Amino acid sequence: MKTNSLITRRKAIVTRLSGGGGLVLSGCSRELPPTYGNILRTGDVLTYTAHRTLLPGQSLAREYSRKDISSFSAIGTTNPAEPGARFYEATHGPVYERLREYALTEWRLSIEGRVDQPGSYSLADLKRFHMRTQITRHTCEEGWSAIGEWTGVPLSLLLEVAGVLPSACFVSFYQFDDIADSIDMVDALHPQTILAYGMNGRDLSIPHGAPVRLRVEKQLGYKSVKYLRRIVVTNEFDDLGKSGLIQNGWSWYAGI
Amino acid sequence: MPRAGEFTPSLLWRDLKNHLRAWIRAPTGGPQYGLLQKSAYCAVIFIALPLEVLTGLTMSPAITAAYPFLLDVFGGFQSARTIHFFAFAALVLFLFVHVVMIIKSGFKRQMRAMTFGE
Repeated sequence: MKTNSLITRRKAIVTRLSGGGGLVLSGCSRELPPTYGNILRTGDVLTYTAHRTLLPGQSLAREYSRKDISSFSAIGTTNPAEPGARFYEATHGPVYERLREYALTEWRLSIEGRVDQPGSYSLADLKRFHMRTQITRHTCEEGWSAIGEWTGVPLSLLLEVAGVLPSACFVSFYQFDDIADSIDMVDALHPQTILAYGMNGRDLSIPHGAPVRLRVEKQLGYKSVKYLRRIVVTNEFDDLGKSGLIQNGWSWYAGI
Repeated sequence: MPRAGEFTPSLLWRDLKNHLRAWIRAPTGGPQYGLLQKSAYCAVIFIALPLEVLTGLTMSPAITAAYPFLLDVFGGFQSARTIHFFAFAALVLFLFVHVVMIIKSGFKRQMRAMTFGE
């Protein structure tokens, strides 16, 4: 891990915030994802409950060295501005196209919901935060895995600055295509959960989710959603309508 | 469990020859397991099944974060996945052979023995 050691006070706060994840979450223990009456989803909820009960919430996923970095294929949406693509979204696809023309300088990531200070952040704003670089394994549910280096701002830092309310339980992420997903506060406050703007020492490329994607290192690859445009903190579980991955047959908790 | 002294090359060879002849004896009503059978059962219970569970856990990013030694034991995520696959294939083969044996040695009678114990 490569860190900017200048901002030690902030780091201390985040460490406390992350370590106190269990405390912050005490009100959320009964909030579980829906099963929609599906028996397999009952199994998902059981896995989620078992992991949250039995596993230490803040243990770190293994980090590798530079020489372990492997080739990394980009799957799913590889360009949200492409009208023919499977998850093309008619409102935000063209917005993404326009943003690209301005080299993403107009891009903003908004944070809303159960926070004291909702707001939006430009790429330059995010890069001013204390950054974290981690070399981790991306485990795809298709069976392949790849190791890459990710650079970004810890989500816990952003949530701290936005003033996440104690009653908050989930964080939802909206992409520029027709996909949205959410994670719980344990993963949201995890030190390795970052909003990544760099990959393998370069700016994040479009196929890999430019300008900013999420990295959730303790779950399968599809939870690390790409092309972020909006983050919403909620008290209750939100299945995010027809865009929500959970509505499209995906397991919500993919710690496996 | 195989008794000590049972694992002699000649006994093992005799058992192997009998198995390869695919000679299926009528059920005797009592457990008179051969050496290969005992070895197979031991391998399934003490090797294949625990291996399945442990390599399965090694494929979980949440569990290897909590217990990283699993990655070292199985040589990483992908080799755990390979071991998981071959152990699964062995278990399916084991099951398949036993279903065939049940059918060949009198399906009705064997099912009755398994369910009602007579």
